[in-house]
Amino acid sequence: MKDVKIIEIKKSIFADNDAEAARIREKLKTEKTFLMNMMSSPGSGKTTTLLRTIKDIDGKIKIGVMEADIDSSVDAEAIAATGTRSIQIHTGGMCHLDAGMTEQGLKELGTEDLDLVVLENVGNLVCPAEFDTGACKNVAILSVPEGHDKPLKYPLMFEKCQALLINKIDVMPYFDFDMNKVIEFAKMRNSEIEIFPVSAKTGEGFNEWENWLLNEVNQWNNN
Amino acid sequence: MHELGILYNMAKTVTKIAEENNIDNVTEIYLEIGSLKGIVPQFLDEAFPYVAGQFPCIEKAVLKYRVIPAKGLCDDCNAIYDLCDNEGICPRCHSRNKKVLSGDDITIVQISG
Repeated sequence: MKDVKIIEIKKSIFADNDAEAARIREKLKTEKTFLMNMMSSPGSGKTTTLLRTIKDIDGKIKIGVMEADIDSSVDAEAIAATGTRSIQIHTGGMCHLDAGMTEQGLKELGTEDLDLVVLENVGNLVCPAEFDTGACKNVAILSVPEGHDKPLKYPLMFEKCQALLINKIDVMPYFDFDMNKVIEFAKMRNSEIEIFPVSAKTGEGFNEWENWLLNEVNQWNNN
Repeated sequence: MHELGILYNMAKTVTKIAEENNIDNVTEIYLEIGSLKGIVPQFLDEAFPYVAGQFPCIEKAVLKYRVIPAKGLCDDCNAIYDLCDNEGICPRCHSRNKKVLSGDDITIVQISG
């Protein structure tokens, strides 16, 4: 009878992904390219936010976009219509991107001449936060109709993000959404998180958000 | 649904380790799953055959695991408490400041083959 080998491993299943993510960041640093991972629920306004941001800052820096979805390419087409370099990544049924998929996407997009690459992750408040994609900063969007209690329900997402956009503030009068509460709950999860109340429809609050983003890109690419 | 992504990562790592140790067919994989990772064991069991079917060396493996409770150490009163049962709030002094001691990772403990 063949001997059975038992191999003691004691290794985190995230270890290989984390190592790959660190390699991506190292390469981006050398290339002077800033990768932002944008996460949110479906329908919170990621693509609309991105379209307005691109319109506002496009002349100042060179931008590329990677759209990740389980299926379809509607988001990538909307971005490409602005003239911005963009690709669609299909996750093949998976609810998030990991470092390996991000690296393939970066290769396909071609990043050497870009200052900023935005990764629009799959719409989901749970899974994308579990995997380090190799991004320099993580940004979450939470929209007013989703409710101010979300940082309590999905703690990891708010712990992992350096910035939070509270989108659709133009419809706040129609919802029982408490801005002070959402800020309190998000800070409870992550005291360092930068919070920007915005409306991707009207443009309200975008100056502050874009200044933060440009400053982050500049710091990463020039230090 | 992130059980699927967790399983793919696990399958890639196990395949690599099996190759390094000249194991062609892994018969058993044993995991420790932290209860802070939001894993539903039933989903893990259901998705495993689908993922394993795509990685020849673990195709016939049995997946076993145990759930590790999430323990926290209160920064303010040094109490050790279960984070899930107490929603991250110290039952003694009601502080939310803490260090997570366990339950925040998913580990491949051992494989057999």
